[in-house]
Amino acid sequence: MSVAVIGIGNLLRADDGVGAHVVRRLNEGWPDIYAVDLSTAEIGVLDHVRGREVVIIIDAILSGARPGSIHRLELGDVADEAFTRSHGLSLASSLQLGYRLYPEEMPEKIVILAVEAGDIESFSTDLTPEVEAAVPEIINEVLREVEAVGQPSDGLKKSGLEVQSAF
Amino acid sequence: MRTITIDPITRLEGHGKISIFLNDAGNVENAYLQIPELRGFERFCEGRRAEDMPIITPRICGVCPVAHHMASAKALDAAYGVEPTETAKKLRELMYMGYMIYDHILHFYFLGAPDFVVGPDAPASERNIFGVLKKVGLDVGKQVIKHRAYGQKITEILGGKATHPTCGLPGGISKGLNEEERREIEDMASSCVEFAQFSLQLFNDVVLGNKGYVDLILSDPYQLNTYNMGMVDEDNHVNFYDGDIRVTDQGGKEFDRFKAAEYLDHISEHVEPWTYSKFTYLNKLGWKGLIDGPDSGIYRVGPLGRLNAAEGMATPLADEEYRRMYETLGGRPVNSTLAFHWARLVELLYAAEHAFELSTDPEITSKDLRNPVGTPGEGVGVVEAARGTLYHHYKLDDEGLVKKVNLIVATTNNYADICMSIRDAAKGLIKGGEVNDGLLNMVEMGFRAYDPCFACSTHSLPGQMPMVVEVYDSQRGLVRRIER
Repeated sequence: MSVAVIGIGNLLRADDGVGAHVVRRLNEGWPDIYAVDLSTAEIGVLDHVRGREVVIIIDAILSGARPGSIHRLELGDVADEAFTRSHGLSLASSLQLGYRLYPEEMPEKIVILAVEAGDIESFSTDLTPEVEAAVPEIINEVLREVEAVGQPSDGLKKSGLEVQSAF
Repeated sequence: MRTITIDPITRLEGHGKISIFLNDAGNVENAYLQIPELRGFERFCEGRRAEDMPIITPRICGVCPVAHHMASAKALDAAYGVEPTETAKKLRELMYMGYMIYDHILHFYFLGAPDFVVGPDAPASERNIFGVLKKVGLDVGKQVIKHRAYGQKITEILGGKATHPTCGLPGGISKGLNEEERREIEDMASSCVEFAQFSLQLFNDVVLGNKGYVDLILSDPYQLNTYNMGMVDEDNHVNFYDGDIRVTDQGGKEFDRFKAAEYLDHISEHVEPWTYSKFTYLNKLGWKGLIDGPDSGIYRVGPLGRLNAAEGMATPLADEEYRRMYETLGGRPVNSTLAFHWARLVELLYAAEHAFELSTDPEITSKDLRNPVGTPGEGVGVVEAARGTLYHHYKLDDEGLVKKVNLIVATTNNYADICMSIRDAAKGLIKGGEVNDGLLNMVEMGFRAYDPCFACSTHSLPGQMPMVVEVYDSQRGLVRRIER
């Protein structure tokens, strides 16, 4: 039984970095949870989800909702992205490719926690107050998922992969 | 004047928009790719500690963090007046080969191959990695994933972290290599050499074996007769990590050559009112607008620019492939934008071979990792990023705090070329105001070859990537909209 938490987003662009912020706090407070900051969602995501049972992805979203709102999405909700991106594959396409190539190794469940961003334009390593206020709830969501699986630690946490932010 | 707008570029690597302007006869006059600049980033860096720069700058871009890390570390070497130890240079270079391996594999199989392996005329819904796998089989797909991960693993072993390396310090590197890690890298590099050869064979069979594709590569809309730029070693072989910056002309002869620190004497940036991004040009010729040819200071960088600006590859198998490419396409320089894909595979083979060489170098496990630094000053660091020449220039104060930052990223160097390639592809497909349905794909192919990266990207969901062409008449009324 194992869980992987993956943060997506640019740590330098204010709320776009919410995934990285959550991963950093998980690494500090719950070092037994495998949590990585991947910055850009591309095919490299497969290196972290193969062999996991549950994967939780944290990313920023711009949908017009109130900043700080947490959208709980499934792969199907973001799976209709176009395949021809300027670089590599989208998150959803990468995961779909994983299911195609390694069906026996892919997680049974993928949860996407998409946090409504307020500001993703400014160069800042701080979240806006609205998104900052949502961080504890995101962490609680993660902990609930981990608890539901029943075994938070799998001993596979690789040193050196976690975010060790300089900021 | 009519305006056609294509908005195909997702948020993932930044925002951009293609606008195609028609003249009164309904033919293409010009095309512009509008991209945002790194507004605010330089200011964000000012006042920070110099040694944080190699940690901060890789965060600009989700795609080439290793290139920024290395350019930054090299700029700090220069700013502190220190040469890294021989072992540190080799470790940095080995890490860099890992980055080139994974980046080039990703680009070829996920972005280049769909157009060629599946076919430029295939429906958009099939021109993707899934369509490629249908043609070449799932086992090849697993090899792609495996070797991409090997490249990533090499950078991770040396760089300390998977995506954002932390190892580069002024004067050297923070972490050495033990024998066990060295062996692991040797095995992975060796496997990558075979995979690169396989990839070139695939390109040979699928693309070069098809006359239609070769004709497409050599067709007029994809030719651009610019200067070429790339870093070379003392034998004028392609070098990603260090060397002189060499510019060759339309006849393949050396036109300019300079050291990193002299870059401002040789290239300048031009500003246009319709875009935040700047255009670079050669000082010797000046900015003459978006035109190619020997009188225009526009040059190309990236895999094709590098191969054109060099005279060979430093490893034997890649050098053989280099010569084969030029023999097949009619000699150096090759001006076909679509040849970027071939050049990329030649470089993949070089990166894998060179990674193998470095991993078996007797000095690579030495513990002599860092030389003492001097006093802080000014420094320029240049590397060849996967997409082209990358410049980092810092001025530090006496305390080692950052006073001024100037970055010229690969896509900026290629920006004028990308705009011209879009224009030329569109020209063939819009005549008398009639828009051919193949427009989107042909334009995309021209622009994808460069693998452009809009460095100040954000990465938020939902990441839809609609392809939209809007055709407006001279009154700016919408007359046609193509979408998928």
